[in-house]
Amino acid sequence: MTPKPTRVTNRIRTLRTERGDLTQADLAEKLGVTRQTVIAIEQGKYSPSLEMAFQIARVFDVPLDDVFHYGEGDAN
Amino acid sequence: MTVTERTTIVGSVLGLITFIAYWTVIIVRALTDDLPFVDVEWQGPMLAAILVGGALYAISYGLISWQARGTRRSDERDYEIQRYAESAGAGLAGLGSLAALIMLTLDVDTFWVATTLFTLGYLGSLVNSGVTIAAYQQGMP
Amino acid sequence: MNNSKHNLPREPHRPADDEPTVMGMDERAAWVQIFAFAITTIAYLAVVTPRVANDPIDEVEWVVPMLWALGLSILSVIVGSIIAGIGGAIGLTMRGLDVDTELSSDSRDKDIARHARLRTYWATPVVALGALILAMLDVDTFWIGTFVFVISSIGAIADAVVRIRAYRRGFVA
Repeated sequence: MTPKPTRVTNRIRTLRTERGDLTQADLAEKLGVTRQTVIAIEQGKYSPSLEMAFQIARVFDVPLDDVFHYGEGDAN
Repeated sequence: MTVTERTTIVGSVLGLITFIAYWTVIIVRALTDDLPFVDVEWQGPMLAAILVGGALYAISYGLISWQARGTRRSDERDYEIQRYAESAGAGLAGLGSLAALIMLTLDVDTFWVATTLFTLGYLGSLVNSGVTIAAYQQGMP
Repeated sequence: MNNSKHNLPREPHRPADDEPTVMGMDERAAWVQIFAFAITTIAYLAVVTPRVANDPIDEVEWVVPMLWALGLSILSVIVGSIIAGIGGAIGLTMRGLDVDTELSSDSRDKDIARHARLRTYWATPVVALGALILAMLDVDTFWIGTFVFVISSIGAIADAVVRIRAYRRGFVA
């Protein structure tokens, strides 16, 4: 049973290097989650809650749809 | 008020009436026949409670839905609230099942086993209704 | 364990990106749940089935096996989780990773637990209603007890399976 397909993709990996060279561990610490959760989000294996999505955007100091993209296909 | 809220309230009221009716019959039988509870013929009333209560609920659900015909009936929010509330109610029902299992091992009379299942199942449905209404009025966690 | 290949044990360090890590605590708990309930249920059925085959139903001695099964399933969940936790901590220490940041429960674990609960709660009302109907039909207590235990175990296993799938293949809320 594959997970429900989602059209939400994210650029977290790119943003981490672009904005402050954050490692997954750094981002996890800022968000208060485990590193595995950050990995899962980046790989599209976990869809963060709306609250966490905003928190992620805030960490990078960018608008929400600079981080998450809703549409067909592409991401990073 | 949404269709779901209305059916939930009706369901709670019907549930309460059914529950009270069942116990009234049992108590009356126990008193008039001068029997201890475990010897009362409880299976009939129990079956009637479930069937009649279920039928009344189905009828009222149909009426309320028919009243709201044409409007969009169930969306994602309704579905989510329904699932959330049902899982909340299931907790109590599960406790009832565990208690029933332990009673069975202790060789307690099936009357009490059935009573536990029935009562905690009913309380679970109350929790379900309460959580549903609260979720619609105040939002879901 | 081929130490030279994996370069273990390592000094405590901050993990690099995508550095492999151990299975999280909640996923471990799910595996423990599967094993605990599957094994106790199978053991109970193994003990009880020959008795059903040989004795008339109302003489089947099922209570003692049931109490054992109940007690052991609860006990093995607790003990199994403790052991799994220790194993995780050891694995992390060998890899030089911090237990708190890699093994603990976060909001994703709560989300997955809730997701699994929402998908598998059906087992509970099925058990309660089914047991009630069986009681009404005056079926032997053996059948009622066995029904409650087996279906509840299936529900618990289903819950754990949904959780593990969510961890491995991912899930969308």
